[in-house]
Amino acid sequence: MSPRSDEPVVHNRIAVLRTERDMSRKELAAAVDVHYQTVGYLERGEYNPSLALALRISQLFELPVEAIFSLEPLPLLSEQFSTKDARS
Amino acid sequence: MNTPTEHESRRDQRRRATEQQVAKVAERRFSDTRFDGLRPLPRRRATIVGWALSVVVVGAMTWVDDPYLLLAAFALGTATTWVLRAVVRTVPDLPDEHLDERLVRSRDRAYRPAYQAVVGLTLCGTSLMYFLLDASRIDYAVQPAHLNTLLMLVLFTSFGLPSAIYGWEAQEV
Repeated sequence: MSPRSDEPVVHNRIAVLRTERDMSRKELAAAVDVHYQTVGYLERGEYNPSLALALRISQLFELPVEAIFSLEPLPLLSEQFSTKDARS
Repeated sequence: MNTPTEHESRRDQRRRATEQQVAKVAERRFSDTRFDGLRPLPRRRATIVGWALSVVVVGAMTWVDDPYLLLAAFALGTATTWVLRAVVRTVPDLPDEHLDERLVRSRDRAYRPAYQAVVGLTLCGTSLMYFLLDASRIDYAVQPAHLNTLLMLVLFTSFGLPSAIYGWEAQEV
């Protein structure tokens, strides 16, 4: 199910964070109490999570919600690090 | 005679038993692998087209006044609708408690067009019957078999259409 055409796309880093923590989609789904296919929908940007689900995910990854979800396309982590390195 | 408290506790027991039953059904449906071959999107859509064609065939079979054909039509409609519902894991029939927020939303989005289509079909069918009842307009009169056709079409459409719409839209089921 894609978001409605008038609905803004919520970009996220779930796939990266899940891989980093070596979690399967099923494990993540069980941890945040959703169907495992929903994790796939979220990762592909085909479903915008509710605020409650976004908060549950941020709680699980122990990160602020804005570090995981954004209305703007999220920059690659490697890009962010290279910008930080250049600044320092 | 039961006291109000006993009555309520029996009602609670019955409700809990029903909820447990539904939970078991939901669990079984979500772990069901029997129809995995029909679940990828192109095959699922082919299944939905097959179901729609079967409903048309059911309509044609029931148009003729033959009890055996009527039974065969009922069996065909029941079988194809059952397969369609099993392919989409009966998501459109499950209550909120057994679905996550995305599935609840998908289910609800499937019901609106399905409701409109069923109401439209029923209205068109009954209007047509009503029009045809007045035999003076054209040389034709409504027969009981034609009422069977309307009933069968409404029955299988109302049972199958939410699943068909949900299955057509969903990327994964």
